[in-house]
Amino acid sequence: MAWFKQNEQKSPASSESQTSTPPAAVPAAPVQAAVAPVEQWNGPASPAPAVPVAAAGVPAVSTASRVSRGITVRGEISGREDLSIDGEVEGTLRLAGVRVIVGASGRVRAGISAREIVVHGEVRGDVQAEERIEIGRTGKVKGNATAKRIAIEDGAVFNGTVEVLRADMVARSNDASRAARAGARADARPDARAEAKPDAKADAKPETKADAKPETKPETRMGQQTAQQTAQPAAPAAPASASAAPKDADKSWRDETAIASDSVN
Amino acid sequence: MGLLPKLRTGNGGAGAAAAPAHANGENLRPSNGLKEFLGHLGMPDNARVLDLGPVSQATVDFFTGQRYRIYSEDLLRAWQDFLAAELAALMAAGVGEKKEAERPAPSERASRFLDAQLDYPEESFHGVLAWDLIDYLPPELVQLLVARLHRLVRPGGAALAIFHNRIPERFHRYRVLNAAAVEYLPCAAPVPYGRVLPNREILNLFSKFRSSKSFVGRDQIREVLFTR
Repeated sequence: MAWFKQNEQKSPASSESQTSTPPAAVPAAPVQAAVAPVEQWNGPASPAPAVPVAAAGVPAVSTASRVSRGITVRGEISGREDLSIDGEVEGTLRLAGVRVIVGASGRVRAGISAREIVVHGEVRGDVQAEERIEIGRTGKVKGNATAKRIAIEDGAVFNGTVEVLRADMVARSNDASRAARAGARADARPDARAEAKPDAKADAKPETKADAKPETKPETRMGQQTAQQTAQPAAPAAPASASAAPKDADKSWRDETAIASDSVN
Repeated sequence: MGLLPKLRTGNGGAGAAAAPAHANGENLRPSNGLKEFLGHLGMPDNARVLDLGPVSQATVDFFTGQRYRIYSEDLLRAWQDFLAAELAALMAAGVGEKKEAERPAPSERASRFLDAQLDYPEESFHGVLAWDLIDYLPPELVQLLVARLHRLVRPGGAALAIFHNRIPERFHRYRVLNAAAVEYLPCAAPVPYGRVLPNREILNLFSKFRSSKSFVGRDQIREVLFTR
């Protein structure tokens, strides 16, 4: 893995690019701090207001690993920690269960698979999130987006197709991936098959619970609701007023509209 | 034709619910063209719709809420980027702006652009939405684009395009709020306005399509639905 991992033991003032050999890191650190203050690390004990804010107002992931500005990574990135990208990445990002933030200066030429993906920079490749994808106003995505919820800010550039996952589709894909994982584990430890079985069973238990939940209300499809919309207090009343307005408007429109219909052939 | 498809309940509500979140009333525009377009598409699951305007949350919400599959290609911006990239490449190669002979022919450039941007198999889409677009593009690109759209739309599919009857004051981004209304928001045009296309020229351009139906508003915006 070529990207840098933030060390929780570091002092609050240290940048993640600083290593135990200060002479090598010293020239880079002040520059990074000046260019991108978001990279300053606030320790776990630091007060809430000190949480760094990434570009476009998105809170930076405090425990995230980071590909810093000026760093280029080629290859596959996988892991179980949130990842913030301000540099360049080419290859594949498989980060199941975590959040990936592509900062305003981040450039990714790779498919991204994660729990949550936030794009303020540029991504060329398919983005697939278990939960949600957010493309900020400075974000550019060229590729297909698949998630339960997709939020696109005005000004964002998106070329590709949007697929909003329904709950039943998510459950099916979870089943498949868990079964594959369980199978892979069992295969990896042929001498411990007796252990592998309970392990798979233990995995299966939460699966059934997790799967049962979405299936009970498959039609809620929160996927279509943005954060903005969910914040609306009078959500049920909204569609009625929305449909009423165009209806009335439509009446007057009919008077104003000249309808011409002709067949070309 | 022209029957408004019954909005899906449950999931479909999300599309309608998006309206008040975005609409401010001032820029709301009833759209008979959209109504006809949706009526034409019917309600097949995963019907594919290609939106050639700037991406918008409301439009994505609306179509995904109706279980359409929405594809987004912001063609005007892509054209602007394409021209800028071409110019940069020419400058890097030492070909000056004035040496027209050394620059690619307009039709060749348009063809390359479409190959790069609309690289979809034939008959991929049930419907295509072309908001403020066609009268902003140069003629050589428009002809190729319309021919390409004809190939991309399935037989029986439809394309909804907007034209201006007079030179528009502003460029607009369009957001689909519900099955019969759009919101139009003024913003900077990625490329300068081209020219007003007379009705006959529009029909000639889309002559390969089986039929057309147009709706002209008092705001001098003409919505035309072309059926393949």
